Amino acid sequence: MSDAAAPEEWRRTSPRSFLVGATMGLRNAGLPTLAALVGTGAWRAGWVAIVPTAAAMLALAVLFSWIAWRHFRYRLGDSDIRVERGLFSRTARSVPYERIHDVSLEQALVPRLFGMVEVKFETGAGGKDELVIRYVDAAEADALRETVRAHKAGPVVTAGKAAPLPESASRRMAAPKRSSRRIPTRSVTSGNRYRH
Amino acid sequence: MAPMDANEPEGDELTPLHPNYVKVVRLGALLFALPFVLGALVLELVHVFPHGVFLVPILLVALWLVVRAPLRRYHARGYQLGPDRLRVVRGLMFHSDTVVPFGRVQHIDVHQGPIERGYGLATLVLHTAGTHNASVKLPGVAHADALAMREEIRAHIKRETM
Repeated sequence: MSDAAAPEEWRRTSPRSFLVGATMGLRNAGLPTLAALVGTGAWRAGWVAIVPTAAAMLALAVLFSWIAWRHFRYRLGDSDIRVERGLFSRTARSVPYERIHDVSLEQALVPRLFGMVEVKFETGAGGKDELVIRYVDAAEADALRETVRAHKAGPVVTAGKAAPLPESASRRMAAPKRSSRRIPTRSVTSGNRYRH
Repeated sequence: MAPMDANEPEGDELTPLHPNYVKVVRLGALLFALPFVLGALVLELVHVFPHGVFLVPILLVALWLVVRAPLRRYHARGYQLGPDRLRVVRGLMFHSDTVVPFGRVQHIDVHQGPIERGYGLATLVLHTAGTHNASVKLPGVAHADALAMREEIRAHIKRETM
């Protein structure tokens, strides 16, 4: 948008997340479609009915997933994480690092098959209104977590903010065993938020 | 109209929303009323009921919703961006005056629906800690203004924490 930040700072989620989205979409649409086929008796027509239906389902799942992926971007700024998403209805969210209580990395079954991780930044704003980046690979997820941790540790680290990602990513590449084992929730809470 | 002057707690001025907000609300109301008007038209054409039993009242209500109500709502709304808080005033029948201290803001959204986008407006949403009524919406500000307000609030959060 019209921010002063350089456009190359904006990142997309991993291209593979679009495959994950399509697979999840297929999984969710599969049963209802089957029910519709059986319910209307269309399945008796055989392949003539089933093949186009399946093709349409696949096309829709891919289309929606691609749109969602294409219109989602995030940026690690000096003092906040930003996410912009939406095609017709756009939302730009800004979460200051100071307000992030917890970074959790989650791998559900389907994303896991593609080696994808879902990163959740919890802010203590009750319920669903948190920041979710889905999906990135394990190295990026770790880098995101490290960045938040670095910012929570002290504002001084801000100077190195452009760097941590590639550096951290390469470190992870060198030691992939360690990072892939401890995927479930890790806390980054630094305890200073209750200071009022 | 300015009904707020009497009971304003601090006596400072409210900033009115962007004039385009009226158009946005009108379009929304139009889209909302359209199905009802169409339904009434259909009932009118099938000649089961006496003429105008449905059509006339529904048209009147729709007209009020589209023409009058948005203007009144626009005048009832306003906000005030203080050094450490945002005040949002709204409501015709149910009046509400909300103050959000920046110290309690968890994250900030700038939302644009398709209609708002067409008119260059945005809705600023402040999410506070809490589970009930945890987000305060301020619709009808120019997109650039919403972004500027976001920056200001964010800067305040940063200062406060350091």
